[in-house]
Amino acid sequence: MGVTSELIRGDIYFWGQLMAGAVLGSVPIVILYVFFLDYYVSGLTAGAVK
Amino acid sequence: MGRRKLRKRILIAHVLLVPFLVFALFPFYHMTLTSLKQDRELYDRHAVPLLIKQGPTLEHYTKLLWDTEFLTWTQEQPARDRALDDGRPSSSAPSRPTRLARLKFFGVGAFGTGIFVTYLVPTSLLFLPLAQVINWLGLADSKWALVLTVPDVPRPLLYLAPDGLLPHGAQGGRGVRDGRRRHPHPGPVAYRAADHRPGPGVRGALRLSRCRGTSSSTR
Repeated sequence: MGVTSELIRGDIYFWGQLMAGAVLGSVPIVILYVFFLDYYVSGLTAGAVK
Repeated sequence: MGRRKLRKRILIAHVLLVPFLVFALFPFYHMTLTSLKQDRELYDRHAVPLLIKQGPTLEHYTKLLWDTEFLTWTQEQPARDRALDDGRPSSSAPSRPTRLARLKFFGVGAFGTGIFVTYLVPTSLLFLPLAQVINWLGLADSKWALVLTVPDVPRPLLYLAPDGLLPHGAQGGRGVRDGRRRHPHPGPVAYRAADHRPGPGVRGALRLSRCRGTSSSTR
């Protein structure tokens, strides 16, 4: 919320900083995803019927 | 299976994965690339968008970290998420137009259609009249403006909605009806069970029993 309200002024987008914020914001999610990958896969395939 | 055949199979499986990988990773590539480009190159119309030609820079990162409140926002984000998530399960059922159509009060069809049509209007167009309404109500610069504009804020109030107003089995202020059972406090699992209403047949019955099993285990 802060990133969009501070780094978008009217129709001026500070793309470099916006993207830097997006990259930094996605890092923890990527790390968590890698650690819990097995759970995701087992959850996705839990209802599968051959 | 021969070793050669197995190797070929593995190779084909990996090749088939490549388009999905490119699709999944492209946004991260583009974000990282844009964040490392110099302003001069970013706003140059003739620059190649997918490559850094004029040298990378960490300027955007340093500006973001030290010239804005980014670190404070990041610290506050988990608390904000938690507050919003607490309210979300209690109200996810009636918040969507398709679910609204299942509610029982007078004129609900027109109300649901109205909300559905509103989804088609660009957000920026909606916010101009909404800002006027908030000013007209004298709520500008107050927390009540948030209650009106951020849908997640008033949603927990739906806990207080009387039974009979909400769809059967979806949710209720004093508990969820799940067949003959009545859960005193429906957790997110109970909503999940209500969201995925089972269809007819054996699979539906199996799914229902699984949902009941998990929702009753939350008590």
